[in-house]
Amino acid sequence: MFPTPLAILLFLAPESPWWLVRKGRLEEAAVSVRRLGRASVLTNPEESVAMMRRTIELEKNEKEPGYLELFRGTDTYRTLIVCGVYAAQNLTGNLIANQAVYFFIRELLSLFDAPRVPGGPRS
Amino acid sequence: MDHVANASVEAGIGSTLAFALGLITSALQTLFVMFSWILTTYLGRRTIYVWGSLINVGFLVALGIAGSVGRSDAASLAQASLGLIVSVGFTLGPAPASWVIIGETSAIRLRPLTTGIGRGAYYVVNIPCIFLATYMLNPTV
Repeated sequence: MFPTPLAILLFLAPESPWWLVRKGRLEEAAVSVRRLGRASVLTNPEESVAMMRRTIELEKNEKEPGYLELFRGTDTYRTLIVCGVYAAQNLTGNLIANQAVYFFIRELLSLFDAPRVPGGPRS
Repeated sequence: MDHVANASVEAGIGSTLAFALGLITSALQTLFVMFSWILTTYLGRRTIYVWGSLINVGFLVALGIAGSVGRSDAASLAQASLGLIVSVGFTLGPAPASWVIIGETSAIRLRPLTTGIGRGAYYVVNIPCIFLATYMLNPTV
């Protein structure tokens, strides 16, 4: 159910400025930056595009990252933090949030409809 | 939506009501994600993440206690209410904050790899959680 509205939104959303800069479409990237940014913060979209262009050029000179680098120096902490936060989603209610419907039907309806619920309060 | 179908079969009720309950939960979760946008203008992501997680863990422990005290109407109502609180609390605090932390912590160059490893860590914890939940949620298993 969820992907449907998402697909519509993605269709209407502006193209990623980073992607446009990578393709060399700088004017379109500036338009995207103007649409995506907050008006009070945005003063010069062209500057943001130039910054992206510089970053992408820098990235081209860097060598491909390897998995070993994830555990070197301060990147070790970054990797551990991301792993910990990602894994902890399971321990802070991810499952209940996804299975909430199950709870309501099992617990609430069993109050009104006890004989038909196996394992319900009055069965 | 497979949980809805599964639950409606077990409870012996119309699938319409089950679908409505699912829709209400999704709507509430959507609303609370929107509230989290407002929350970020007042609180830092660290505050939201740490306190949101702690509070939700507290509610989860309470839910576990409510599920362990034997079968009664009061325990059922407590479990249903706590289930709702946990599911909206998760979408208000820990969930959006965790995605921000996952997206922003790693070095830009290593980001795809860090996120990949992080997702691996998620599944390592997710698999035993789902396995245990099957026994906790299904009284017939």
